[in-house]
Amino acid sequence: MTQATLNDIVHRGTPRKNTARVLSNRLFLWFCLAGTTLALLVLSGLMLSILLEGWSTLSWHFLDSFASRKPADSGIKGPLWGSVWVCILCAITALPLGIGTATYLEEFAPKNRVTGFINLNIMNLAGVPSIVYGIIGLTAFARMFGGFGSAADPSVLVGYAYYNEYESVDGEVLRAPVTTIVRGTTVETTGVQAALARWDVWIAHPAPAGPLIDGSMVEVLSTDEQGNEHWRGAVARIAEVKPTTQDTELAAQTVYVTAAAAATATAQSRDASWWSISLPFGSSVLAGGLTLMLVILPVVIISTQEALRAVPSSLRQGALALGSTRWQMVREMTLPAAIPGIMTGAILAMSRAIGEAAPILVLGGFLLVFAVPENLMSDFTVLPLQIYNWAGRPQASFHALAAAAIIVQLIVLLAFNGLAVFIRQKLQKDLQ
Amino acid sequence: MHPLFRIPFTLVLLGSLPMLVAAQQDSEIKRVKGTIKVDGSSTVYPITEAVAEEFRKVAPRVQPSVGISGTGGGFKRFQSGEIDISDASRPIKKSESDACAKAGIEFHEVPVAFDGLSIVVHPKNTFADKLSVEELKRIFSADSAAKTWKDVRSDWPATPLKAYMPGTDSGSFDYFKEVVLGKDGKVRSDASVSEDDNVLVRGVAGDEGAIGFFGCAYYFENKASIRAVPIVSPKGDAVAPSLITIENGSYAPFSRPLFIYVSAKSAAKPEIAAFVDFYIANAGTYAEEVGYVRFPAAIYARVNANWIARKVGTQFTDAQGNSIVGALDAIYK
Repeated sequence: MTQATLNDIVHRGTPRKNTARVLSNRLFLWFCLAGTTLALLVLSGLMLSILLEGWSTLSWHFLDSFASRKPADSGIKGPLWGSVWVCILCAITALPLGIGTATYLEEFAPKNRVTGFINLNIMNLAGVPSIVYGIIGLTAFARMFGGFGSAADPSVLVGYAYYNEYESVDGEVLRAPVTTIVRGTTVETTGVQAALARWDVWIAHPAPAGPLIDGSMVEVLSTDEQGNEHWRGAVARIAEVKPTTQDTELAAQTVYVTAAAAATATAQSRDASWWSISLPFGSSVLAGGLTLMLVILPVVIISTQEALRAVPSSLRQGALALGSTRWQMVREMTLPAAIPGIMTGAILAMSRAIGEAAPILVLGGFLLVFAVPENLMSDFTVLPLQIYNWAGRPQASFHALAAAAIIVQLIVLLAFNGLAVFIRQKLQKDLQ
Repeated sequence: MHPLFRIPFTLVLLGSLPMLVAAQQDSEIKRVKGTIKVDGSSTVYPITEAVAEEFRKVAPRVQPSVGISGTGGGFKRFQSGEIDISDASRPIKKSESDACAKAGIEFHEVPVAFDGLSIVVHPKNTFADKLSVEELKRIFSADSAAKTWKDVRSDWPATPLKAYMPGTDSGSFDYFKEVVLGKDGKVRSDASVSEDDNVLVRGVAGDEGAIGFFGCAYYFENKASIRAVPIVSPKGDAVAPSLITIENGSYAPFSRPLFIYVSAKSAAKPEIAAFVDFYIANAGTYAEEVGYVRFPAAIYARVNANWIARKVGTQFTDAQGNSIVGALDAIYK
């Protein structure tokens, strides 16, 4: 029943003589109105004071610099991107898991004691303080129950590229890719001659597979009849590449490279791609996202269950009567019909996730970072932690920074919720 | 040239030698890269924050991350090898160093600066010649909350007493509370509270019955307008805070050294070594900037020598496993 028709009945349909009923109706209306006004006043008061305090601090410099001990130089680049990474990871893990669990429990699972017990537990989990989830996250994700060694020396590494590093005579660091690596050993690249600043390199025939790029390998292979040496070493920078006219048959090229000062690698390094993973996760963005997933999972499951329950069973019966399977029914009827409720639940859950500081603190999240997360294993910090720290400092200028960070956090939250609303609208249209 | 004149020249030459070395080191540091994970005491955090921020300017490819899990929390992560450096507002405990030994983690102990508290009154308050911890408890505890100075010691005048103190968020408050009231004690609720130490200084300077406490750095800057009360140390003598008494450890129990503990395994990495070098070289400057007291040069020299020798283990636990209490100068060799 819509608001308009309700009001029609209230104002026109009730007999005026019945004063007690009319009075209680008015009282209730006033009560609701007072409640809403109070909430709005408090909210606008808070927003206004935050805006007044933080607005002047808000600038591009504030968004684009890392935290500093000097308020004027300070910014939120680290926590802002940390929050974005953690929230995205949290959303893409918690939403499918939560909606899947709820769909199973509502649409597929038999209603018996076991599912009843599971439902009861999910209800209870929704009320568990988030700091407890932080402890679970620390044990399960950051340390993985100690089963994979420590975070400083992870036993499983997936998706990393390894390099031997050489120091060149020019003071540059040369990197040569290592194709296979055994943990705990140093792999030496052969044939990088010591103490040569620059020399001409003949690439032997056949030329190495693939194009010669910075960082590719050249190795001492042989000396040919003309006395040209054929080298392999770490190429730091290719100064010039020109095909030689003398010997087109060999397809040789003259390559100028910077040589390494010593033949042994000074260090080994590894590059991570964005999806690189090491076990245990340590206090990485992935561990942070998964911990927040634990925090909001019960909320997502419960709100999805409620949304599914609100779908009239006539829809389900109709679909089944037409011969569709359960999965077809869920995919075509119940889930699309429940999407508005599910997305509302998701918005509430994500709003909770973005505001959490306690589980991240327990997980071992840092406060001061000087880098934006680049991959799943990066160190990170989040906005609530930075706000908490700034708000607790003695100087008033840090309080202004905290207020500005709160404004940014609200904007990030609005952006996430806007996305959820967009998805809701989009999916609703598809249903019609 | 007269031989005497040569001395300054030699000194100048000798003096410029470290600069040359430093210039060469600068270019080396610029190339160092990697990550440094630091966690631990929120009291030490301001120093580490300042050092990390400045270190980034000389070593832009190094990424330090600093957390505030508390001294105990930091050591827990340190034991499991999760962090390279642990910030600590007290020496490592026997149980913690045992856990490190069990996990095969050796560490270098690096004291960085003094944290000191001064208890101050109005300069015209001359009767409060000294205060014991017990008397401070009578003033600041919620149970007694002395109304006048007569309540503190019966032969003092009945001047109304007004307490000034930093807010509960500050490290100074935690430190004071721990020493005077213990972990579970409650502080009187009618004290004037400000997070800005300058406000406290003005408050005490303008009120003849006032008493307050804050970091020693603020007292040293405002010696003209406030008077620090000598505190009865555990040894029984009343000692006033000064650079000398803090340095030699006689100003007790309101001064303590702050530390960083560096994992020996991490110290082998060039980025960590460069960071600790930088930390030791600049700890005094940044410690003073954020309100702590720098060590005398002799102690920094000792710290540096131990660091260069990569001395492992703590000097604050004796052979029987008891912690050694006393002046840093006497304990730390």
